[in-house]
Amino acid sequence: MRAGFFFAGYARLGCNASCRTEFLDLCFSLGIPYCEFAVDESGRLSLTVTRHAARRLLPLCEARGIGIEVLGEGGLFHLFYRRRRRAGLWIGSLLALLLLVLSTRFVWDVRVRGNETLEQGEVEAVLSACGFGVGSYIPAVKTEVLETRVTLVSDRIAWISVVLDGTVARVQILENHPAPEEPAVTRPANLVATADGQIESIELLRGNCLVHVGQAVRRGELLVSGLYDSQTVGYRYTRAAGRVIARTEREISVRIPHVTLQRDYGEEKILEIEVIFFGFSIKIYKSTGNLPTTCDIIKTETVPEPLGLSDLPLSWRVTRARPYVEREVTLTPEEALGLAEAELEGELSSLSRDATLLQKEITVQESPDATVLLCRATVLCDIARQVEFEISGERPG
Amino acid sequence: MEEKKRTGGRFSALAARYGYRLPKAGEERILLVGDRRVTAFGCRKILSYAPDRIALRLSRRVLSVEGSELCFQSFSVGCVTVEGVITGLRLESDGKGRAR
Repeated sequence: MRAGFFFAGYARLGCNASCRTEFLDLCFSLGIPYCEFAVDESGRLSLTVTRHAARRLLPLCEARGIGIEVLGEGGLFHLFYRRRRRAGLWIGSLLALLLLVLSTRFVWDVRVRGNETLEQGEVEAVLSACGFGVGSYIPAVKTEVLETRVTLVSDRIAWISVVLDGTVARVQILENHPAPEEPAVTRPANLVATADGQIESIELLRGNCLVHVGQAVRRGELLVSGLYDSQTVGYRYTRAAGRVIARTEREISVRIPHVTLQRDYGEEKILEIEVIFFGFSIKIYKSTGNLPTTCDIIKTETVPEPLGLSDLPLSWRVTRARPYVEREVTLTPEEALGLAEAELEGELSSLSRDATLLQKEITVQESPDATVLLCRATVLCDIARQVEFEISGERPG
Repeated sequence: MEEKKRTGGRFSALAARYGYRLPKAGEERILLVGDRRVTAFGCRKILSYAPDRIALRLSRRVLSVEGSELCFQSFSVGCVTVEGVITGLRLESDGKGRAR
């Protein structure tokens, strides 16, 4: 079937062997285009012509006594004509068309650029607080007002530009970076050791250093003084600053009891299914019945990506309940040791944020009711802490 | 411009360039492609049709196409294309057969 025949509408005509020559000669003399020429075993001829050509042929054939019959009709017009009584189809098509037209008047996506420390979600939350987001009615959006409002509402956004590019809002921001609060350098301070250790290096910025590399110091010992005493000019004070890196020891203890509570999860149950369209949530399913007394509630939001389009303002959220029963279980010493080691690893990794681990010594203590891991870690870290002091009396000149 | 009109326009010039002469209106011309297709220019009327024999009236003669599974592939102004397994062509002039 040719595409042209489908769009123009077609009719399948047939005639007997006795009059097929006359019929073909008529088609030839009128220059009628056709397709799907076929002759069956009985000699009956059939071919497909356009609806328009069929309307021309039928009266002429009748006038000349050529017996032809219409075997079938089809095409785009015929397709619609046959479905003219299906109101749902027409209403659905109309609604789809309406939705297509109306959808161009709403914001479909908000794209944020220029954010460094702020997350896209945080910027969208600020915009939402100012009455703008996915689903906003575009003719009602006044970008100048919105930009001013955002800068007033948020302390972290210094400047914002909102440009509506079709149904996509392109938001460009500049973040506000407040200058870090400088401590009042006029208040004098010493650097004091926060832990016992042996000094490995000193990075002195201000102050009178009283220790040296390789020296062992105790917790609370004065490392760098903020006070200078001079025989010639008298004393003067400053706010001591710097880093004193020392080799220190830290003790970490992890205790895993042998008798512990464990959750046994049952079968998941779907509580709700919501379709979120342009920020509006429509519940399409809600479970009835009582929830178990103990359960975890899990909400999963899925954004479909049809044909690679990830920015559609359509998603669905499924809320599930996972019921559980808590029961006491007794761990074997090996299981308890495994858990304790995993927990100790976590503690050590959190330690490495401000210290460098040099060495660790682990002692396992097993008792009938618990397994205890004692870890003595040798680390390099900054042990200097500023401690302010008061000056009484007048400052000497 | 006059030259183009006289020689038949752009299509004639293009056909002549590639060594192909377009048939003039009413001119008889028969083009046989292997044993599967025959195109007859200058056709006036379809005299008879059967899957094993087709008769066409040209300007001055009658063309008979013999074979099996014969069908008309297309019609256009004065031009008919027949497809099928062609076993013979016969040209007759005024009812007096003259095979070629």
